Amino acid sequence: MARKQSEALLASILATAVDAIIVIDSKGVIQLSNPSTERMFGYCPEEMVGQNITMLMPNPYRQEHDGYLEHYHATGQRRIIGIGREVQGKKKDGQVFPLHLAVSEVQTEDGKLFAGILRDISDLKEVERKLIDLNLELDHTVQRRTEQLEKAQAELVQKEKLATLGRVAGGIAHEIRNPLNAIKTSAYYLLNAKKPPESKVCEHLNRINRQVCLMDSVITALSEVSRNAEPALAAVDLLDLLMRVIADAGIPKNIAVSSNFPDQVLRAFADRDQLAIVFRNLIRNAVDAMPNGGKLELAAVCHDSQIMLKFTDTGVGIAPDQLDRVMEPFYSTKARGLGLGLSITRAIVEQNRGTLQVKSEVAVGTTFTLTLQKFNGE
Amino acid sequence: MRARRILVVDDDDDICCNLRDILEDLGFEIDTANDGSSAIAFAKVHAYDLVLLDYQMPEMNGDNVYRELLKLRPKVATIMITALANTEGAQRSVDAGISHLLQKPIDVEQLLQLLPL
Repeated sequence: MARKQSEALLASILATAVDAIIVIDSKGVIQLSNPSTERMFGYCPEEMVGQNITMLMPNPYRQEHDGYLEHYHATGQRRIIGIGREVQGKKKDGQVFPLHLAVSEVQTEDGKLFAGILRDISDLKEVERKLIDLNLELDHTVQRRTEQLEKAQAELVQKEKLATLGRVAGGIAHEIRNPLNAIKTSAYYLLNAKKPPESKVCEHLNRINRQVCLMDSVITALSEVSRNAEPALAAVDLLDLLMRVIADAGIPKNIAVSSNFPDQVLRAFADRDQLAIVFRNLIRNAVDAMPNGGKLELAAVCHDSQIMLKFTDTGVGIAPDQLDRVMEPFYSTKARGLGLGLSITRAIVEQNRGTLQVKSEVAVGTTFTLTLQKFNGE
Repeated sequence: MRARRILVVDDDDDICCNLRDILEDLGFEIDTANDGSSAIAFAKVHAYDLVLLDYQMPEMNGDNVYRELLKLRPKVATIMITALANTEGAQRSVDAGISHLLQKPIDVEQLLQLLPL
């Protein structure tokens, strides 16, 4: 390219560049500026050429610039040259604005020159500021919402606690008042009856005794919840324990109990006393489900590491919408009862490293499947 | 003069027996039922001077039983007895016209004052 052509091209680039281009000498004196510089700073070229570049800088850049140039000439250490950075410019009307400055060093016959390319980044900064504001606002909103959610959750927990407490109190009140009513009316009869026969007196005393036992069983159920003792795991002969519990369960005569057990001894790794509570509760549950009689089938299957026990009744069954809740504490489908039996049972089973599952069909019956760890030690 | 006839309804047989003993001793004629359907069956046969009705029973609660009794005997005098701390359900029966609502354990002397002479 011919020299003239090259000069014309460079002049054209300077004239049309969107960025401001300023050339200074080694002392910082402006040698050249393009039209974009004029638009950016508001000075005409005549006002700039021959002046120190610091005229376009606010403090502290203005004060530091000469020192910076001297330091560069002395040490060769660069802060902007060849790197580019974000700085501030000062317009003729005094307005300070952000700009990006890239400086290149040009060696000429007359000495060093520095060419600076400056881009007004006010819009970019404005967007950045808005973004920061939006982020802050978003942070505040998230924080506010989180606090609201935490508060709502705490209120919900509190309400749930109160609701549970209400159910507990109501359940206990009901379970205690019924036997109290029987005891109180028996006592009234014994105190006020005109010449009661001895058989009647005996009947009422027995009734009082029975109702006291009922109240005691309510207290026992509550203490079983609160006890939550660590199980003492050991080998338990399951069928022996099951037969003992059945013998003491007082199963009505209209309920036929059948069993399907393998010939081998089934030994589980569990807490014998706690397991007795589990068996008692599952059997009582089955009996309660069959007020008009029925069948209670007990079956056991032995696997490599687990023993599965099934308790199947032909009782009233549990509706699908209640099935998920029957093992919740204080949830009962019965007119009587605290609704603790199954929740205690499941808690004990889980403490003994087992599982308890239920399947049921209304008017057909219910099967509870208890899976326990098999005892494999000597 | 014929003896006043009372139907005692409670799913707890001990309570039915106790009230039977107390009231029979005072000269009342007593029938007992352990559930709602038995109570309704009794009410179809006899016009009771009073029904003593437990609120919380399996299958049909006292309120439901009372409403069925009303269909059979619109003027039947009924005393509802509840062990529940929250008497909201039984209160519906009071609104429907039940004579009295007593809470377990009942004060027998108070009950006797409410009985038909």
